[in-house]
Amino acid sequence: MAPETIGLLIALTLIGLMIIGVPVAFALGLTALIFLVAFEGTGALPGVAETFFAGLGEFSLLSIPMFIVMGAAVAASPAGRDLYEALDRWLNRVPGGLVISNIGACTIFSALSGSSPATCAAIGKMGIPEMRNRGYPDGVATGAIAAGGTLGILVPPSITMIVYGIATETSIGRLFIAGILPGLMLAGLFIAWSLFFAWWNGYKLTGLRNFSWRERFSVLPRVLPFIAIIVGILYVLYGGVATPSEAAGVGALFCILLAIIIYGLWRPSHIWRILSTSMNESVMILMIIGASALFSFTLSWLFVTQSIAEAIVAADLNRWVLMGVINVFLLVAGLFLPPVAVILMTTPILLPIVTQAGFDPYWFAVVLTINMEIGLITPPVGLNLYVINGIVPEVSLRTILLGSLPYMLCMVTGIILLCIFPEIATWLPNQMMGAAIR
Amino acid sequence: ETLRASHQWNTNDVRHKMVEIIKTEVEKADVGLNVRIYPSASLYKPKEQYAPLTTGQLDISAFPLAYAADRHPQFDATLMPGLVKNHDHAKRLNDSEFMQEIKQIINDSGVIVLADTWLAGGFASKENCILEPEDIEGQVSRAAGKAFEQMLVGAGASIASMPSSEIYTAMQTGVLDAANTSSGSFVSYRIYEQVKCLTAPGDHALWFMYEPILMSKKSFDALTEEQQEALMAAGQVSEEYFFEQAKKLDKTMVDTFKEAGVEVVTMNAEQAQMWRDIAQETSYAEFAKNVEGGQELIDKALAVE
Amino acid sequence: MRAFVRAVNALSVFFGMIAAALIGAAILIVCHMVFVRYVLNGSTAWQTDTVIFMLIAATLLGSAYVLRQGGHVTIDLAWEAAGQATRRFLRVMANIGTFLFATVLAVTGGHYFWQAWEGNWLSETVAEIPLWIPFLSMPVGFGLLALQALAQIIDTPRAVDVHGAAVHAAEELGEEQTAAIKEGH
Ligand code: NA
Ligand code: NA
Repeated sequence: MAPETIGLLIALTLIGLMIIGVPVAFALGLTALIFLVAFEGTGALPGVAETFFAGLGEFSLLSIPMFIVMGAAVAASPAGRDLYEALDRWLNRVPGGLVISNIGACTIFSALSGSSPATCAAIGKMGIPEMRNRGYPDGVATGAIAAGGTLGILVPPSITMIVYGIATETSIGRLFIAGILPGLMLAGLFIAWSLFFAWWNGYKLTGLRNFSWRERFSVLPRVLPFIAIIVGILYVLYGGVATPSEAAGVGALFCILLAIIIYGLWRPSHIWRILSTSMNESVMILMIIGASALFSFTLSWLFVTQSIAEAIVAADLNRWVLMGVINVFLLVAGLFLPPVAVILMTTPILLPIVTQAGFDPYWFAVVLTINMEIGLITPPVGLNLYVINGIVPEVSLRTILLGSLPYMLCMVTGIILLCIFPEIATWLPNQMMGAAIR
Repeated sequence: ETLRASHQWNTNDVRHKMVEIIKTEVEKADVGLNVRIYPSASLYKPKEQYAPLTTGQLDISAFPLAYAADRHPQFDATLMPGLVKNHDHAKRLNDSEFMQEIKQIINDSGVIVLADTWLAGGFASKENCILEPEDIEGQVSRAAGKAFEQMLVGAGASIASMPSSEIYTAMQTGVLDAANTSSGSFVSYRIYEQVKCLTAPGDHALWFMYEPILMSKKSFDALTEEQQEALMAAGQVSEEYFFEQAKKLDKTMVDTFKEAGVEVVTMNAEQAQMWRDIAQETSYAEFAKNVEGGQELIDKALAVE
Repeated sequence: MRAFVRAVNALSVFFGMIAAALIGAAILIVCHMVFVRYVLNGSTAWQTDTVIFMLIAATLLGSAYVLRQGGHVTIDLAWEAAGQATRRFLRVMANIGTFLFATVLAVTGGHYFWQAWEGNWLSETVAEIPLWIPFLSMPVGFGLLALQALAQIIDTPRAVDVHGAAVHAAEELGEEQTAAIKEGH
């Protein structure tokens, strides 16, 4: 049987298992097992445990649970509210200041959390009701947070970038830096759209309050320590003082300590809540990583990966046509699969092709991540949509979805801008770390 | 019939070329054998390759034998400081009692050797030239292999463990003062941009690593006699090719570092002996204590002239 | 049958707590490593391996608990479109899929553990951790995952109620804890 045919059968089996509701991780693993046994017999089975275990045995992976704990510690405290409050008090005189505060708070919180749903939940709980109260349309209120939350995987630290770094053997620190400017660019696009939309539709933004300077300064002490942690982590990572895993471990401990000291979350039940929430999320992600190792092994063993790659190379597309096709492919994959699974399944095939076509691997990581961000606010696996739906059940999923649509277009615009000006992703790492070693 | 060959190197690496020679030679022999190479760890992770060789799931592979030391701790002797002095010494070692014993363990676990290869390496530091043990005292160093870590700690260095791909950044940011790795890695990771002095292998090297091309015994036994002969012959061609290339790797390293303005030195017999004395109390002692027959193995290796 | 489901649920929660504790402990060890390496300028040898193994163990041991909480990402296209009878069928099929995968990994993982135990394999770094310890989390974790999937198959008629909604075993957890878990997604 031709490898391409096998590949098609594998894809159909995987989709079938996922459609009936087998969790993504186990669907990946089971598909791998089925095809290994079908082509190699049961003799291939003894190796699967080792492949799965080795898939998880990477030093850099251990930063994932720690960044999740960092985000969970902050999310368990009202720090998200304070962060948003602080920005609001300082920006309330600025036209559209509330939207800026919300998206700004999402951006800052993203720097504390490697995951998007966590960002979405932490800021949305306070920000969405407030925006609705002050007259913003439901679609903008929910869409801005759903989209702002996706910055969690672009603004460092980012679990998506960690996994990409491991899968492609690129520097995780450098990937993190590459995400900073594009993250700010997207935040800017989100803000621009929100303001434009509200203005265009003549919304009266009511409930503006004046804050005294005293009120403005009084909220800072609760926020500054978290900002200090962000700055500290950025310094440690980008100064190359320590590895991402080390920075994550220390950051997690500090965030827990701050939650205890500032917000009084000292009870064992509080700590337990932080740890068990983090455990849930990191088990979910790491299971996908382990199962993906098995899945990629099977694809490679049956020569599917190599055949697809050869076919793409043989097609000899113009490099921008190639990049366009890859983007559409990633976008579609991202609609159905969580980012981690997409990266692990596709980068072994895509990266060699992309670099051969002359694209920078760090630039590509950013483009890929933005594609994954789009997937987070589109069904069927739009984690952020469901988080928002949980926060404001009275707003229909349909409204949230339609509200998010324009932000999706902002992200597409962002990708186009990155194609025209690749320096948005490559300039900062080059400035801070020198040219990349390949 | 198609054999699967897996390794971790990219397609420009000399070690990929070795596996490629096996492929071309075997296919040229026209004995009904094909080889499909999976480079760049596209099938198995580097340290994951030994187990499938023993079960016959993977047919051919090439990696540092010390990777399998978790299963057979004796293999750590093939990445032990000061046992191999230079490339010609390594060649003599291949036929020694020491290597016979190592190969016996390999065979007993269901794997055979198609080609013997030894890679050399050295030390580099941002501070000073590493010649005597006291030169590395107080420096934070990366070592390639457990036994080297033990010896460097014995010499008064601090250890930071990391893959060779991270040495450059670690040195740039000051996490690392010194590093020990193979000649090939020193060049491909451009360590010459970071260091002041390089200790090249020369005639009295400390760092040698055994990195054979291995084949599954189960797969081998399933072949016809004709096919087996073709494979062994191909292994021989590959081994001879690499022996020349290994020396070339060292020379390329020396040239590249000199060109970059890095001071290049080599150890003399006395300096190498000073390190061996420290190894005697650290890595050799640990090895002898933890591994059955460890002391005898080391003695046998040291006995090779 | 009920007793079996309850027992499995309790086991999953117990190992879920161990998994969460492992993550907490891993953070402390990483901080210790950072302190020794950057403040005391000392050698750090055992921490990396230990932490990697702890987090792998946390993933495996916590997996059944996360399955029980509905925490593994699932595509719910078919579920959303289906009626009650179909939902029961889907729930059974999905858990059979999970059960099969978990069982194969539990058995092969058990074999892997046994090899490491018999051969006295040690991790390669200076730490020399006996590898059977981390490997043990494979048969235990996947075994428990298989049991949890089995329990969910048995529990299907009760879990998918007349409205076709999936009832997570919330009544057996404290309300606060359930809320916390939901917030996590
Ligand atoms: Na982030
Ligand atoms: Na989606």
